Amino acid sequence: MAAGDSVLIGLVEEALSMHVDSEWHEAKLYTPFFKDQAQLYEFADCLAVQTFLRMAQLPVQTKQRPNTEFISPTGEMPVLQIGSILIPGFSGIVDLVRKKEAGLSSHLTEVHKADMAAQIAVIDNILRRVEMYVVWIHDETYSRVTSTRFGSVYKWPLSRVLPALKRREMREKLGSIDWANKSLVEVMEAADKAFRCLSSHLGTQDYVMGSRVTEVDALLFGHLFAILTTRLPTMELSNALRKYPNLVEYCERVENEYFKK
Amino acid sequence: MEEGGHGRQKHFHRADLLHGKCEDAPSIVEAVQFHGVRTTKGDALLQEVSELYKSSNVDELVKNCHLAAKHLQEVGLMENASALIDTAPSKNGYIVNFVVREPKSFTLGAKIGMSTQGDADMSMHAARHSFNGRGEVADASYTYTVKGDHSFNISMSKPLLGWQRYSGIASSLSRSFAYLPWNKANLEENSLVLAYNNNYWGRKILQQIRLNAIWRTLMATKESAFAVREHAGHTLKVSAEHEYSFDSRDRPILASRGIVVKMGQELAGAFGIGDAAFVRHQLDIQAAAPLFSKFFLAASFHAKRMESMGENELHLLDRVYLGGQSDLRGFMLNSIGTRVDNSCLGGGCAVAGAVHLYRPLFPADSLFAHAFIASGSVASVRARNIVRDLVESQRISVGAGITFVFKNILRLELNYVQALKKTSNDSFNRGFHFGAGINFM
Repeated sequence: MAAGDSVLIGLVEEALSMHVDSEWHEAKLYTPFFKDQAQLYEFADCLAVQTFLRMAQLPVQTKQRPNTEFISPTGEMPVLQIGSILIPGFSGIVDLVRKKEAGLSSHLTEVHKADMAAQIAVIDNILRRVEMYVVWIHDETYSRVTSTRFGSVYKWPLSRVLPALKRREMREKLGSIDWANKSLVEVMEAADKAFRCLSSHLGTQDYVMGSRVTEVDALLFGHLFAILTTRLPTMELSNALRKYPNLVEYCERVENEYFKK
Repeated sequence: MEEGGHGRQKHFHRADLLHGKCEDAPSIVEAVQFHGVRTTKGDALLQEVSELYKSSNVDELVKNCHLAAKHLQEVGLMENASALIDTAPSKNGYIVNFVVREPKSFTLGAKIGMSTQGDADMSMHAARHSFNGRGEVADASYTYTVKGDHSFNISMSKPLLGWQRYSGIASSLSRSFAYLPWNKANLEENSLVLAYNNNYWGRKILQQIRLNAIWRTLMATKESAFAVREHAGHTLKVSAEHEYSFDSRDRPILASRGIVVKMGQELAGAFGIGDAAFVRHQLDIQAAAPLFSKFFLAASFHAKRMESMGENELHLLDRVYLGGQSDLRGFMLNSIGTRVDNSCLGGGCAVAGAVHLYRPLFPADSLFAHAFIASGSVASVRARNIVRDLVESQRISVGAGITFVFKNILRLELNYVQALKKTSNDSFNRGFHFGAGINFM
């Protein structure tokens, strides 16, 4: 029975582990319009995926579409298309690449993998929520930036109606995890906590997990770069980040390495 | 229609007693009286009957009284109306009495039902007829499904009154949900429609003008092909539609003689309003004629062309679809044309035709034996040469069965269908097919 099971598992694993070279054909990455449409956290996630694929040396063609949110099976962005398979979101894409044995973290021990997962959780559970809060809940940012960008791909009156509906949806979503009623001060404290944690973990290392890049580097770079380069009515978030020079320097280094060569 | 007599005990007679015999008898209408009016406005009644005063002889008066009574019912001002013509004391003087029953001012209904997809729903319906005393109808319905979808429809219509005027304006505001099996996607629509219709040439030509503003949300499902998914999301269609139709058929749903021609255009996205930008041209012709011993022959032709006016390719929801039990029988609904992963992507142009042979069975005006041959094809939205595309992708199906027409409101068909020409990618099932609806090719 046990032997039979292991044979079966082996067969399934073999079927799943496609060889990247032969399977990675015409991969396309669907993203919103970076310049006029994408919100801070969406831009960060799209950039993180692009960085990750560059780090893994997997070629991808980026296609900016106004309705990427609807192209995505889950609403998560960006969306990777390989053949007829669609994979939404950073973690889904990382998982897929890992299954294809082309991941960036196979050299890590289990302890280090758990450590990396904790760093990813800080970005997912704190940093991204901070960004969502600033984008959708902070009134000035919503009225001066978010609503215009979200409505930019629609014609009037949808350009006015849809941002308001989305804001309501995001309020409910953030409300369900007790983030909607926080004050900006509380949120910035959370952001500072996240930056402090990430900064102290990075220390003077080249990358988050040591001397080799891993997926957490792609995710961290995406978010740091997005925060540093996006102009918002409140500069508190980028100012909070600038208090940690090793993070800013890290961001510049990754940019030079993967986007300026 | 009845003609009045003298004296206290009045005896009214049917109009045909003197109809056609009194062309020389002059008449002066002294008064028109209504019996049974509670809410209908006086000015509306005046518009309806003022022409009666112009009747110069009794024959004309009888005819006009009949037309007026019929018109009162047909425009929805009255549920029942009959004219009684009485003599007045003066020489050649007549008094016209209309005995009327106004429509029920308020109707309310509720039902719990099950849709074909197995979802339970609950709906409520309320209507007010002639609510402002001028034939206006307000109608509201609301449906709630177990899945949590709310849909509603609020509509208002108003006849434009006047002597023998068949014209009206209408508006509706609605929200609806539907699953589109041919696209394997869900569609939510919020729409505002304004309509105007008018009749010409003894009601043989009907003109309709519509202004539509529709906010559409296409939502892909797990089964949707990527080519469908690419179109998912919100789009706004603002369009103006115009249609002329000529109708001389003896019955609306299954005619045994006569012809109907419909010609329509739709322009969407003019002046950059809305996302959808296209021009639609559509032509429908149906003709029927009796053959030997009770048999009759009917033929239909349908052509539709959508032209994208913007920089973008025609949206999935604006494309032309063909196939199904009401046109090319045997093919899955709207399944003909470019297909990807079992989803149909529609086309830019469609032409279809059908020839039917019917023989009445018993009862003669509702059950028919029926044989047909139907053909059609859809040209892709990217077709370079539309005619060649249409010729190369032609499908033909033949079949025989029975057709049942229920009181000119519903047609049911049960046919055994066989394809004479199809492509390997088509969704066609040989065998018995059932169809129900109003508009059949």
